[in-house]
Amino acid sequence: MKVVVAYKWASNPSHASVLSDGTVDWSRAKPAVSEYDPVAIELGRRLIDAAGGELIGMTVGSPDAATSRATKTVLARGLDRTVVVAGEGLDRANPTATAARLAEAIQAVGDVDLVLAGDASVDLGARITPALVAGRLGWPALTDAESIALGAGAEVLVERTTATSVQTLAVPLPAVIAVASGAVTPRVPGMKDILAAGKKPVEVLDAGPEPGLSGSAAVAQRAPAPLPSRHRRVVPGDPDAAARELVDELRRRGVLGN
Amino acid sequence: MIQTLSEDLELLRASVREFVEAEVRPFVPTMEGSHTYPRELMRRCAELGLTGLLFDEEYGGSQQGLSAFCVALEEISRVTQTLAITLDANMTLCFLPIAQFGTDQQKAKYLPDAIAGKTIGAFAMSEPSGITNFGQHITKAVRDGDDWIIDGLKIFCTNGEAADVFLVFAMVDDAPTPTCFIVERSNPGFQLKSVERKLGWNGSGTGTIVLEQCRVGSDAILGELHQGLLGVLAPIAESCVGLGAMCVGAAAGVLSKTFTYTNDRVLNGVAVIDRQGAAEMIARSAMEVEIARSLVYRTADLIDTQGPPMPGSPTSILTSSCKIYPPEMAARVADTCIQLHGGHGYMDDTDIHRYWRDVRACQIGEGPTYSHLERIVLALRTNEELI
Repeated sequence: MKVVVAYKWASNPSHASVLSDGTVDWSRAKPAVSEYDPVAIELGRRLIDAAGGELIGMTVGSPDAATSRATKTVLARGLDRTVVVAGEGLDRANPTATAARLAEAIQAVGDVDLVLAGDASVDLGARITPALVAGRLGWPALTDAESIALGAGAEVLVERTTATSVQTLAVPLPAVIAVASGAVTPRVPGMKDILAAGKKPVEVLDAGPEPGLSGSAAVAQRAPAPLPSRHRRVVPGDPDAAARELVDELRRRGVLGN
Repeated sequence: MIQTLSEDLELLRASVREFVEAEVRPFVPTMEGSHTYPRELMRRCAELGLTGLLFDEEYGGSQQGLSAFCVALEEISRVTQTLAITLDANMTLCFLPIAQFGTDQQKAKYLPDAIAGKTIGAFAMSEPSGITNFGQHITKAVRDGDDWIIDGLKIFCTNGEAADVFLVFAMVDDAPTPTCFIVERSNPGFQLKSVERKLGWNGSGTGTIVLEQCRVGSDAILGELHQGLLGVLAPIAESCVGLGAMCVGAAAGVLSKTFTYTNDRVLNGVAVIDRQGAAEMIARSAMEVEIARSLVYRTADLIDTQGPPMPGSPTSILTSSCKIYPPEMAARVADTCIQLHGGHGYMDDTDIHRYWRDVRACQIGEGPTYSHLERIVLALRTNEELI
């Protein structure tokens, strides 16, 4: 079985700060493997350990994603090898462009049975890249997987929880599956994992020209989000009476039920 | 933190920090509140390879050296020195002497299980009369056929509560210095008398052990008869550097919490850190942490490349300095952090004074400050050109 885990080498926005002029200072945000991707790697590792085969990491990013530190960081978490599609500015590419490059690289690897991805990237959080990759490849896509097990024949059994039920879905392979953020607890790499990571294969692919992106959205203009309008009404007087009036007001406006 | 270590060691630092935040920090209230020995966390340390950093691959280690071990101790100590001292004492004071001075049979018997986290080790030298006051030591060993019979009492054994293997120093044949015996908890006549309550390091299982007609085999002697001290002098140097790393970690940990607090705490419209006096306290503390970190990793690197120093050698100045400066620095920084927190620093809920209590032990363990000052003078007397 050949499983690809798509991951992102991204800066965590919680380490960035918004300056007084509204711009974002990313200088203190060091890139790292995106927060939820280790969950997908761990699930993939368990699947391969059970089924046999190869677990391949894959990312589209800036040249920093191809550095030894970046590749060792993900390889130490259980990948057998990794493929990095590197190019200036690719870490800031929109999901459509990223998905197109991932799909190309997956086809280049060949004979891939399953693509796993984290729940969302830590920087954009769009939660759409797995579906876009699946669309490019013409494969089924599934999100929020909490467990993945081998099924009969060329399929996997995927469990996920909806608002009303727990589903077990038989998904024909090949497929693209996004893993729920809490599906498993990823392993913490030990010293031997780190040392072994330095000996695992890394393939760096030149991003080349931008793939054809019919239907790709581009940001034409940015402006601050409008502030929500607020009534700013202060209810003065005795606290008990004010509380009653506040409740009445909220009911009149439909915020509270009658 | 200014990163100057190799890529692998910085990745190790990231891994240990992830482990500490996810698994160690949640256990601290239990360890601190009910003095619970962190046995499960010690097992996890082994799974992550932290118990094997100083040991050969032949026994299951990774032979990454003292610098790597210091990274682990520093990162753990950012959150708790208790787990760090149990790991440090386990490896540098019990199993490292076996690795460096044991027979092939002793190494094969003890090291694989220790590195795999199946056994815990402890160091038993101190007695009520003092640690090196050998003329007054009451623990003695006598021959009985091919065996040895040990009688006596040892105090201040870190890990004593949980350890399976002890290095016990006993006087033999009226020799002026002790012989080191490897004693197992399962040896007949071994008894854990009590687990002590302390100012800090709650959970490190500091034990008092009694040996009453404790029988060990002839193969239990570590190193040479009457030469037990030689077998621990080198590892003690490594333990001193490890203790320095623990102090760097604890000071950095409490300073980090204080940095956040002084940024967030606004008094009379001004953040505490924006007051000149407070800013200077923070800056000086950060400077001291980085100075100590530089000392620790420079010394660890020298030991990794040249081996542990013997008393009186130039490098012994650095190892003793690691036992003096970082512990005193950590005490100053922890005290400063309490001050910057005001009344909140004195309360339990901010968890600040735990650092202040824990780091105090570092000026005492592995030889008190004055004994290391004497060692520096000894080294200067034989290497005057160093001044």
